Amino acid sequence: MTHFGVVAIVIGLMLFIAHASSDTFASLRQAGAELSPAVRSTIFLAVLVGFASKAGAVPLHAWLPRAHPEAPSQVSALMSAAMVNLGVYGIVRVGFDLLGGGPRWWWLLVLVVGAVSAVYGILQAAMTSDLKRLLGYSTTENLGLVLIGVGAAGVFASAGAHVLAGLALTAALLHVINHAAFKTLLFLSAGSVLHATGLRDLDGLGGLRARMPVTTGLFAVGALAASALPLGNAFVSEWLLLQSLVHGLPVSGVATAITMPAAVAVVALTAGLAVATFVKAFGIGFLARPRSSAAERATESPVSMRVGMGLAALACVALAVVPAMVMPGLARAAGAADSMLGEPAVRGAVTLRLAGFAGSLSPLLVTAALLVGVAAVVAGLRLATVRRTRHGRLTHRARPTRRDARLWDCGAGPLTARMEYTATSFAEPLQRVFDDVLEPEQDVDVTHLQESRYLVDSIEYRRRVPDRIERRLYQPLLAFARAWGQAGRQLATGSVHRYLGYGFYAVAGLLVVLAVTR
Amino acid sequence: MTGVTGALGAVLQVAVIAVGSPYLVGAMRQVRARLEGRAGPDVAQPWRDLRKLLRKESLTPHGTSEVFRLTPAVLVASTVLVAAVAPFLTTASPLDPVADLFAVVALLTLGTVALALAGIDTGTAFGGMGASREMTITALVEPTLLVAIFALSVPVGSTNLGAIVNSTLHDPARVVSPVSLLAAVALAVAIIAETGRLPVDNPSTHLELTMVHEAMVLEYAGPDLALVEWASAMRLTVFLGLLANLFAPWGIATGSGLAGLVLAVIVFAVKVGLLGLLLAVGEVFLAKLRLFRVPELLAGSFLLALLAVAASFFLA
Repeated sequence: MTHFGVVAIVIGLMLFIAHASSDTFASLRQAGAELSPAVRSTIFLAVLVGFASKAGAVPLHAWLPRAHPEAPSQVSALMSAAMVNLGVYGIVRVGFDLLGGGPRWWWLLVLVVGAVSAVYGILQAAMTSDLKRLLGYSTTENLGLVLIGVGAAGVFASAGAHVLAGLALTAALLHVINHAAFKTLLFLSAGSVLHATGLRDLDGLGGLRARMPVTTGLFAVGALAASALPLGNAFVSEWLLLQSLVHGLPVSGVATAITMPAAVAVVALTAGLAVATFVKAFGIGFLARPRSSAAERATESPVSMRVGMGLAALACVALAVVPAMVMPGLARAAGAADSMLGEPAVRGAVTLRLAGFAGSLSPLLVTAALLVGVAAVVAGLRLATVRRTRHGRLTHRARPTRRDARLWDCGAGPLTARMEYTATSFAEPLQRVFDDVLEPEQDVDVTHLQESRYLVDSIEYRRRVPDRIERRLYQPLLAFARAWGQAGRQLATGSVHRYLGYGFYAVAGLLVVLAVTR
Repeated sequence: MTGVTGALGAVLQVAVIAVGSPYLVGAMRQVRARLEGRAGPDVAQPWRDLRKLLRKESLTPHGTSEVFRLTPAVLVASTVLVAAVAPFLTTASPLDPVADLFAVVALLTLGTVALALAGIDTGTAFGGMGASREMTITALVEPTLLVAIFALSVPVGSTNLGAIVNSTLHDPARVVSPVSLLAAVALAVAIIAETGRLPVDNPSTHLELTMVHEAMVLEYAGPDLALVEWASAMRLTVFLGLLANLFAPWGIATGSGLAGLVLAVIVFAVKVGLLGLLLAVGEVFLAKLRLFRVPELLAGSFLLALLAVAASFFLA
């Protein structure tokens, strides 16, 4: 997979360099302006294939959810937070900067690839119960969102709407930064959980909040960010992305008129599924009761791990509250990518305002208001209790601790951890809804008692949601390659006579060809 | 002067919604009861229930954590924040630039997420079941909501609520355009799903297998339950108020002047009351859909929203 990506990039860039005087960015930029459309498109497509595989975009994503979970968690964090971004960098650098934009279909292609990646990635993430695999698929989803932004920027730029292109590109780049911050945090927390329990399977986790409070709190920060809700940093970048798509409709062309609503719907569906996915990851993984003895014995990770997670969480919070601090840098980056961009797309420190469009949002004020609101409600409840003591209805101090109550168990005795919802059961309704897309495999084995086949001894039930693209696209490809390899092996039997024969016939054949053609 | 009345309007919005929403719920129950041939409880009964619950002792279900304890506060705070920033009584609120329609939807989703986490936190089968179902519905409602917002904001050129309301005020003919009508129907279905009303969820069910919202809040008792109930009444009011003001904003205070504000309060109460009445009447005649039929309903509303966007482009 990686080799394939590299080959595609190298082919594209070699083709490019062959047309330029040297391989510096300046000369490539100059050459890019003079290339014929066909060559430009070939270069772009080759580079897009290569960098999309680096970014883990569908259908070249298959390596990502396999490679990222297997690495040690800090390496997974590095891979998911930093490495995939290079794919986006490559596409922006070559497409915008070196080739100087291009026809609209390039960017529509990027947008479609992004949209498919976003929805497919988050659907798979919603289904899986392996925590690190879930985070890996979520990387595909987030890079898909970034590619939607990049594609939209290209579409706008090719239509001459440069202010809008700047906004979309800023949104995409901000999402890259945000994703890097929260994915680092999430992978490090997953590593902390793995360290404490040895488990990655959400179905066996649970109840970690009491035993690993710091990890739980920090994972919550990351999960909030990843589900793109207010107080999280990804909310700001998704908001910018939606704004750029909403304002993109008046940009001329039926293609935009069809693409933009579809893109908004994709972003919305992705956001909705991301919420469900991270409620599952956090709720099932950290809340409720432990579902295995390993989770029961978990202890908090050492200080060094907590500090690492804490730093990543700080970055998340800072980006969520004052996203304006990275805006100048993003504006410069967007300006370097597209020289037609004028002023920065987003202004304002406390309240973000779009340049050229009516639209504003104040993450700082929303966050502050929510926190103050929560504190006020809690304090109000306290006060209500205290006032009651003054009236003298309760003689002792108003309950310092709340009374412990039994859970509702339908009167059938205490609930066990086996009765809890697991990650698999949590995702079951969604799996049913998206049945046609996911094609889950179900296996029911019923073993009967020997005496009678009406009496059941045991029932075994297995369900798997395989990666459909992997199965439909890669397995046939691999089988094909394998078949050819097998066929090829018959040529090499190990007999020296045969090899000499091959040499003789090859030379003779070449001579005949030369004799005929010359 | 505008700033002062604007700020006053924002405060008044919160107060009206906070005080009025239990009455709305009471009125809706009264309507349903009358239509079903019962006398039904008084309109003020939800307030009495809240008062009674607030006086009770706070309980902690065994094994629950801070997530469970903080959820009612998060729910109330996020709803109050929406009540403060959205234009319900005045468009001159100084808080208007703070959050647009996307942010409002996201804030309300935040409340839903908190509730789902609290449901999981109890560790009971019901809590997990309710959370799982609620999240499924939320994930599917989101596209409809956002695309409908898209359709509404295209003619205006902004997603800021104040801008949308103001532009409808200046151009009343737009309300009967296909864009508006399609988006209104799509939003109405999405709102029914989000607020957990029939036919998506039955707010008065306690039959274990059909519960969605009720299953998540099953373990709440006393003051916590009071907050949850109050917040869900406010959410209903906020959603109905948004629907009313996005499509029929007349009566809302636009400038300075206390008379305008007073009028706005009355008109708002009438509009939301009417919508509540409609919803209650509809609920009498509707049965709850099977859970796995709900996606079909939502897909239908999504299609309407998409048609609205198409109309906004091709008919503009």
